[in-house]
Amino acid sequence: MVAATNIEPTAQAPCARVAQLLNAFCFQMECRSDCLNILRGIIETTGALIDADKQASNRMLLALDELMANIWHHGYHDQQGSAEIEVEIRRYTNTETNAKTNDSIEVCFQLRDFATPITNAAFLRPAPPCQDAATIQPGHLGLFLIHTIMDSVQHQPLADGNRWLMHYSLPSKPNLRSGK
Amino acid sequence: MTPLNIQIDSHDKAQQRIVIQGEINIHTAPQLRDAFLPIFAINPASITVDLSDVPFMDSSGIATLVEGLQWSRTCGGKFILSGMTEAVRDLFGLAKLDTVFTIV
Repeated sequence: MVAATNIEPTAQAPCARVAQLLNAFCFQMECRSDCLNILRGIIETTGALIDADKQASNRMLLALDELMANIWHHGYHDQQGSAEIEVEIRRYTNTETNAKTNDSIEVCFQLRDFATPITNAAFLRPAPPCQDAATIQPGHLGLFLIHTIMDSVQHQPLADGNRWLMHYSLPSKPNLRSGK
Repeated sequence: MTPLNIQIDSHDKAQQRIVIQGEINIHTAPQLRDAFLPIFAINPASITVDLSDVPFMDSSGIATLVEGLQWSRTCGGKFILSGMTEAVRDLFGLAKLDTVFTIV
């Protein structure tokens, strides 16, 4: 974890918002089918830092679980692989109004795998499930859930794997500690 | 992760009840699928899946339940999900499948 650091306004919001890095931490882990407890530990740590409620925590866990399951299944073909997870927590303050009620917290999850780089964009396109019980195809549901939960999802193929960037926003709460 | 605990109440062959305890994800969903297979063979009029002790489920669990739903529909039977925890109910809402299943 790092100390709180003021950083420049982001490119997405050059004037309106200032971001403050509250916490950052990273994990190296094995990507396996049974790593839910490790992901839960990451989310419990994150949730405690931002005072997330149960629904928000469960949704973040669900998105991480779905992404890790996809990497394990499609990337590593049901074999054990490596993964790195970085979590950054930022507070955004509206600099025009300086109104605390406009503060928001953003959690950025960066996942790195070392599987075959994905270059087929169609594979990454989420589609809502069919509403007809007779013809529902659950495939791609995990990707749909990730996109539904997260505010943004980005994928970057690398020379030796893939990088996944997911952002989750929620309203800031008072007395949020930084730099612990 | 702890394995799923699955209990099947076959007292009435026409009304099968499956009680699940534990988390359903890509690691444990195959256990649930394996539990469904002998029930499908009985061809009951209804299958009720009790999810009141399932604190977490992901799309692998949904996929298995979709399989059960589709099998039941094909055979003219009912497939009912009962006792959903908050997290599981939220999942079905996120997946937009809360109106596809019979949920009590």
